[in-house]
Amino acid sequence: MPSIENRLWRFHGVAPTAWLAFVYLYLPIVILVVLSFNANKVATLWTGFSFDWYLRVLENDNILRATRNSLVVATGATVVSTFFATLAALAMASGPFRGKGVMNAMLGLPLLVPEIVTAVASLLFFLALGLELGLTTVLIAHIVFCLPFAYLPIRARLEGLDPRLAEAAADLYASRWQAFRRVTLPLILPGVVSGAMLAFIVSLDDFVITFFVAGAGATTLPVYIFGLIRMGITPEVNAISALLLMVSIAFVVLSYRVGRRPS
Amino acid sequence: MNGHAYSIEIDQVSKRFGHGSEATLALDTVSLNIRTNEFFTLLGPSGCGKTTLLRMIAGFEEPTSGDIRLDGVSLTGRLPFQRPVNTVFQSYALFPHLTVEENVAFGLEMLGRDRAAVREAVTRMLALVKLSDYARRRPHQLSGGQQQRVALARALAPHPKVLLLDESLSALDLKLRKDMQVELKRLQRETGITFVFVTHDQEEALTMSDRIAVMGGGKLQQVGSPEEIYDRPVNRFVADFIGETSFLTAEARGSALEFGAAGRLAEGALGTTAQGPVALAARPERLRLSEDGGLTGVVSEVVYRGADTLYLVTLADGQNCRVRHTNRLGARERAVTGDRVRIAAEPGAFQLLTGEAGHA
Ligand SMILES: Nc1ncnc2c1ncn2[C@@H]1O[C@H](COP(=O)(O)OP(=O)(O)OP(=O)(O)O)[C@@H](O)[C@H]1O
Ligand SMILES: [Mg+2]
Repeated sequence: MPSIENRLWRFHGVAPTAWLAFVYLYLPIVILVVLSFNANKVATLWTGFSFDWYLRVLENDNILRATRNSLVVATGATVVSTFFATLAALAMASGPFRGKGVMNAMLGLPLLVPEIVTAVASLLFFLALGLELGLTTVLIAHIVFCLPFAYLPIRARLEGLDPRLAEAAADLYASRWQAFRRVTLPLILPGVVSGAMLAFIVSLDDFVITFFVAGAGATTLPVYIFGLIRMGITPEVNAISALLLMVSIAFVVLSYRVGRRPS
Repeated sequence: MNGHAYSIEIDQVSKRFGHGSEATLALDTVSLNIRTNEFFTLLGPSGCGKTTLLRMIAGFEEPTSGDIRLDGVSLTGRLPFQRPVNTVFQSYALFPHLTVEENVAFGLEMLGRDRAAVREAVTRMLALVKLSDYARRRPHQLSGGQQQRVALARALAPHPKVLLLDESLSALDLKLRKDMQVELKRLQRETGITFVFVTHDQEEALTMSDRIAVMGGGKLQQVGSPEEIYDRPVNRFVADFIGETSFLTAEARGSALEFGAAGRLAEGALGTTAQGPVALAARPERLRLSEDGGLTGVVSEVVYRGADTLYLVTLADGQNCRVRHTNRLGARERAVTGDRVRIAAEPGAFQLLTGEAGHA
C-alpha cells in the first residue's frame, strides 16, 4: 500500500548506503567461510577446495576439549542465569517495594560496566576467596555476566502482561503455583527462551572475562582460538570460526521464530 | 443450601489506599446485605468505590476495617482462590494463550473436576452464551461482545455462589448491550446464583436490578428497589444522580406546601407529614401544566425530545422547575417560551430530602 507517509520517508541514496553497510558487515565473514575451504596451508592464499581443515578440527583433541568446556560452561550458565533472571523479573513485577528502582537499575548495570573491569574484579574476587581457577570459576563468572542478558527480555515480556490475568487465574481457583504454571509462565515463555538464548550466545562467545578467570585445563573455544592466532592464522582457525558461526546463526533463527510467536 | 437469608453481608467496611497525606478513603464504613439469588447493583459515579468493593468481595483487596461474610462466614484472610466467588472483569482478562473452551474449562480444572464433567460443563456453558461454534478460537479472534460472553461463561462454569460483574456491558454497542441485559437476567434466574453488578449507567441499573445500592464519595447513599430509588430518593445526591429532578424549597403547613409568591399546593403533594421549611425533589413527569394548578410561573424554555417535551419553568418566587409531558400524535404544544403557566402536582409528587435545611 503506497501511502504518503512512506513516500515522505524515502530519501535518495538510502539503497547504496545500505548495500555498503551490508558489505562492510558481512564481507569479512564471507571471506572467512570461503577460506575455511582453502586447500592451501597459508590461510590467505587460495589454491583449491577442500574439507581437510574441518576434518583436522574434528580430530584435534585440544579443540574438542575446548569445545566441550565452552558448551558445558554455556549450558550451565544459561540454565542458572535464566532461572535467577526469571525469579528476579517476577519479583520486580510483583508490585511496589522499597528500593525497587535501585534494584532494577542494578540488574541492568553490568551491561554498561566495561568487560575488562568485570574480568579483573572477578579474578581478584576468586583469588581473595582462595578459589582455585578452573572450569568452576569460569562457570560462576559466566552465570553472573549472563544474568542481565537473560533478565531484560523476561522483564520486558512481564511488563506487557496484564496483571488482571493473574487475578483472573486466582479468581478461578488456581493456587499461586498453578496460576504461575498455567498462565504466567506460558505467557512469558517467549521472553524466557529468548533470554536463555541470549545468555547462551553471550557465554559461548565470551573471551575477556574467561581469559582472566580460566585456569589451566579450563580453556574455552574463544580462548583457544586466540592462542592459535598468536601463532599465525591457519585455515584451521577459519574452520572453527565457521563452525561457531553456524551455531550462532542457528540460535538467531530460533530466537527470531520464538520472538514472533503471538503473545 | 443453608438457611442464611443473606448471601453477602458487608459489615462496616472501610478501605483506605496509601498512607499519610496521600491516603484516599475509597470506602467509608459501608454496610450492605445482599440476598441469595438477588440481582444486586452497585450504582454510582466514577471513583465512588464500586470496583474497590467488588475487589474486596473477590479477595483481591482486604478491607482496612470491617468484615465481609459469605453465607454467614467471614471471608477475612481467605485468598481469592479460596472463595466460591467468580468475577467477570471489566477488561474481560481472558487468557490469550488458551482457546475459548480452555478458558471456560479453567476454573473447573483448577477445582479438580474430572475430564468428563469439565467437558460436559464447557459444552453447556458455550451453548448458554451461544458460542458453541467458537470453541476452538483464541480470544483475539473474537469480537468484543463475543469475548465478553466468553468471560461470562468462564466465570459461570464453576457455578460460584456469587458472580461479580464489573461494568461488564460498558464496552458493548447499544443493541448488543440490550440483548446481554436480557441474557444476564435470564442467567441469574436460571442458575440461582447471586449477581453483584457494577455500573454507572442508571438506566441499566433500573431495568435489571432487584435492588440497587447508590454510592457516592465512598459512602452508601441509599439501598432499595428500582422503584424506591427512583420514586423516593432519600437525599439530593440520589435524586440528582438518578433521573431528572427539580430541587425546590417550600414551607410545609398542615397537608399543604407553600411556595411563597409562587402559590401553594393543597392536599398531599408531599408524601410525608413533615412541617416547617423543607427541601424537596420532584420528577418532571409527576408535575403537569394545568389551568387549575396551584403554582404560577413563566416558561423559560421548551425542549422537544421525541417521546416527550420538557418545559423549564421559572416559578413566581424565582425557583426553577421542570415539567414533562408525553407527546401525543397531532397534539399541540402546551406552552411556548414566555407563556405564563400554572403547575399541578400528583399526590406524593414531592419527595422530602433528609439531612438538608429547608430555606437557605
Ligand atoms: N490501588 C489503588 N491505590 C490507590 N488508590 C486507589 C486504588 N484503587 C482505587 N483507588 C482510589 O479509590 C477510589 C475508588 O476507586 P474505584 O476504582 O473503586 O472507583 P469506581 O467506583 O470503580 O470508579 P469507576 O466507575 O471509574 O470504575 C478512587 O478515588 C481511586 O482513585
Ligand atoms: Mg470501577
